[in-house]
Amino acid sequence: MTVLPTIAVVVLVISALLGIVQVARGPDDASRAVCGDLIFFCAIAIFAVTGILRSTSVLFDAVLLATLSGILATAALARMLTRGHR
Amino acid sequence: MSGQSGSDVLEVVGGVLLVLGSLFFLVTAVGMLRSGDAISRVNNLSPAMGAGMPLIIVGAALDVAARGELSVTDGVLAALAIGAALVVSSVASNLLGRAAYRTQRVLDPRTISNALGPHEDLPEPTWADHPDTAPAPESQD
Repeated sequence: MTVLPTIAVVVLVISALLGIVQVARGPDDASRAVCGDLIFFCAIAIFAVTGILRSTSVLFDAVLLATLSGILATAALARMLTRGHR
Repeated sequence: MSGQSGSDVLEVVGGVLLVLGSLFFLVTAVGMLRSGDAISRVNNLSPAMGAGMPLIIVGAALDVAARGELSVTDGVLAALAIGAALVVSSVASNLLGRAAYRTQRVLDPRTISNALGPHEDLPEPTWADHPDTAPAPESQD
């Protein structure tokens, strides 16, 4: 019974590819930062789904750590966008 | 036998939740392509982080539970990950939305109201590229 998780992985990969397209054509840096965020969380979701397909034991540990540290990249990008101003 | 069919039901429900969550990610990605300015894209991130990520984590937990491998620690970690996704998405959206508003040159002409307008000066005139859609000056009270 791996049909539904496989469909989920395919849809998530399509979303990440659309995010990459948006990064390529994004008119300003803020759009690229947001789409980088989307691609990061797509990667976490792809890891979660492939983790249950391959039955790894560190699935939820990795998902929790990645979700918690995902804000670091976003905060850094937001600070860079404003050239250091808050 | 009944336990076997119960785990089958759990597995199907988990798989359906996984597909639903991935569809939220797809909706977000399509919305990124369709929206006109950076702050709309920050807004568009909400379905993926607020609905897609929790659905995928719950679906993964149900799928692992269907195989009888879900320990208590894993359940607590999954619940923490859902809470972290919600908190992180809101804080990240606030940070990135403020930065996007400050750095963008022009707002999408479909933007209806701009609550930050009186308080934040944009680097260049916000409505320069869309003079026809500039808001009417506020009436003096």
